[in-house]
Amino acid sequence: MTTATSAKQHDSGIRLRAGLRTVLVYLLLLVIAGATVGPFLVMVSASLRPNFSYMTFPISLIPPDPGVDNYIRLFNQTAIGRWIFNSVFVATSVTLLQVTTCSLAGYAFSRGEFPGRDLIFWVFMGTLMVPSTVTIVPLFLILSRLGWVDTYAALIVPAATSIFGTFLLRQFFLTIPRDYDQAALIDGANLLQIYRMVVLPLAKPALATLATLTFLGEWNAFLYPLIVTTKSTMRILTVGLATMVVQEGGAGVQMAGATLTFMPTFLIFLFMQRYVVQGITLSGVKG
Amino acid sequence: MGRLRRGWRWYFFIAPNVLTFLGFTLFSWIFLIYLSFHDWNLLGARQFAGLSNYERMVSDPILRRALVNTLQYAIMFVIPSAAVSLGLATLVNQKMRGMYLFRALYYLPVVTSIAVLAIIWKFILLPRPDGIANYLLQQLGVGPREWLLDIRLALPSITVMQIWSTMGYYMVLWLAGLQGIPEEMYEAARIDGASRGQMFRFVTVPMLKPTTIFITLIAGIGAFQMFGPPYMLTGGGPVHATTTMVYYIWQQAFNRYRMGYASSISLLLFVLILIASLIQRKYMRWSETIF
Repeated sequence: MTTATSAKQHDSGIRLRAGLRTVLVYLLLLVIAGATVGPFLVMVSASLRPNFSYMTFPISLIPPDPGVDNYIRLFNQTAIGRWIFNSVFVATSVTLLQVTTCSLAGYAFSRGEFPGRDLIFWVFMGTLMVPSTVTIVPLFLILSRLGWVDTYAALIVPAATSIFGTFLLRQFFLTIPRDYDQAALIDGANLLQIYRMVVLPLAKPALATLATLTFLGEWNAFLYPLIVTTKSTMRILTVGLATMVVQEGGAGVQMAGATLTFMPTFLIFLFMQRYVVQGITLSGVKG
Repeated sequence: MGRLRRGWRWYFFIAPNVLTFLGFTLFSWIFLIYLSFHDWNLLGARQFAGLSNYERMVSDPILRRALVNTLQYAIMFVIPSAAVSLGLATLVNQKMRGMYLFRALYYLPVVTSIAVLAIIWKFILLPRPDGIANYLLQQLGVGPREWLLDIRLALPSITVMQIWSTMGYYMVLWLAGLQGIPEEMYEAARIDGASRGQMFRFVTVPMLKPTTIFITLIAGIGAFQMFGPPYMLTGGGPVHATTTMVYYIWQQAFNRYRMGYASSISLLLFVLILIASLIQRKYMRWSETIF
């Protein structure tokens, strides 16, 4: 009898401690979430304060007199409409091109037998870890010689292929059984038909992963588009935001621009989260 | 079958990749080395300069400053961010309700451009007593600072911002590593009477070694290329306190139009990254004997 009660007390003690631990863990999780999300709330809130300036204090998360004046100023005083178009156009083009070129090359490296295949593949792999920042000066000079400075070609063509994407897709294609290729071959399909009707449909998750990562990467790019464009009309959003000159209400207009730049990546992340995380994990641990 | 799998047709499939590789990547490298032996300000003709760019590097005090800043930043960034993100990963790796949401929230800064993050942090780090950072620290009894205007605090401030903005990325990598550890190993340790701390020390840490190598390597490579924050927030100042290697390369090439000199600094940056990766690999191999 007594042993039973003490066991029960002991049991509830453990449960209490486990409960306390749970509460503490959630508390810690929430504090960190506040630190990662808080700055974004500050940004959105500041962008909605009509007379926001760096002198606006105290700061409150809910704007006392919300309005979209900063956004109106942003559209009136800067070429933001053009920057949005440029970002959408460049990021979409690069994404479509990369998914196409990388899947073609990944298909060849996973299925084909041709002289030099392994050599080419290993040369590609060798440059994967070398940062492209190192060659940014000569690359700019090459593009400038081609007359590509301030053109979409400069923003798109050098990014139209990717060694990382090729590797990512090759790894995925290797997991697709060859039996499917065989069956299609017997039905009389050629290489391009097998690629289009067998490999691509089965690789949709991998293609979505590459597309998401590429789009986010291009949308958020900074150093490269900063260097290859000089005219305001050829800037993409991030660079336009960083270099814009505003006559009136600078800080609030900047916050509005930052919010507009952030929103698409936020939405993509919201809906494509699985692919983003998958891409990171694939590139990281298995690469 | 064999007829189709073999053959020259495949070159069409890899052609776009090979052509951009040859035309942009490989040619850039050759041009980079060539340029480092020349003087070129874009307007005049390229002039052979011998080793003068390299000689200038040796005696350039600002380059030395940029080098020190970059190394300092790499040290301040890599190990703390690996540690913080490992902490985050173990925290969100628990089987509790809502963990997916927290993981997503911690990842948010990673999908955001540095241009956006810098604008927000400029506001947080305002050098006013009632700026957000100063206000929050005041609650902890720390006096107001001038953050980005303070020679000693500018680079550490940027480091904190960078750790904050990338920790979600490394968290996801750590999570993948953590989830790759077989549950039976913890089971066995528990039967042997290991405590939570002992399990972390003797099961988790050794099992995470490949992940540790990868994370410190890419964090290091990333740290050597830091550019956005000094460009957006400090202009490399105050008094070159936040001039990093890449910022200095950008400045030399696109403000001063010294393409040759910028190229030779780029090569130095490449050598640095190479050395750092090799040291890191060696160190990781050496540390294997400890665990």
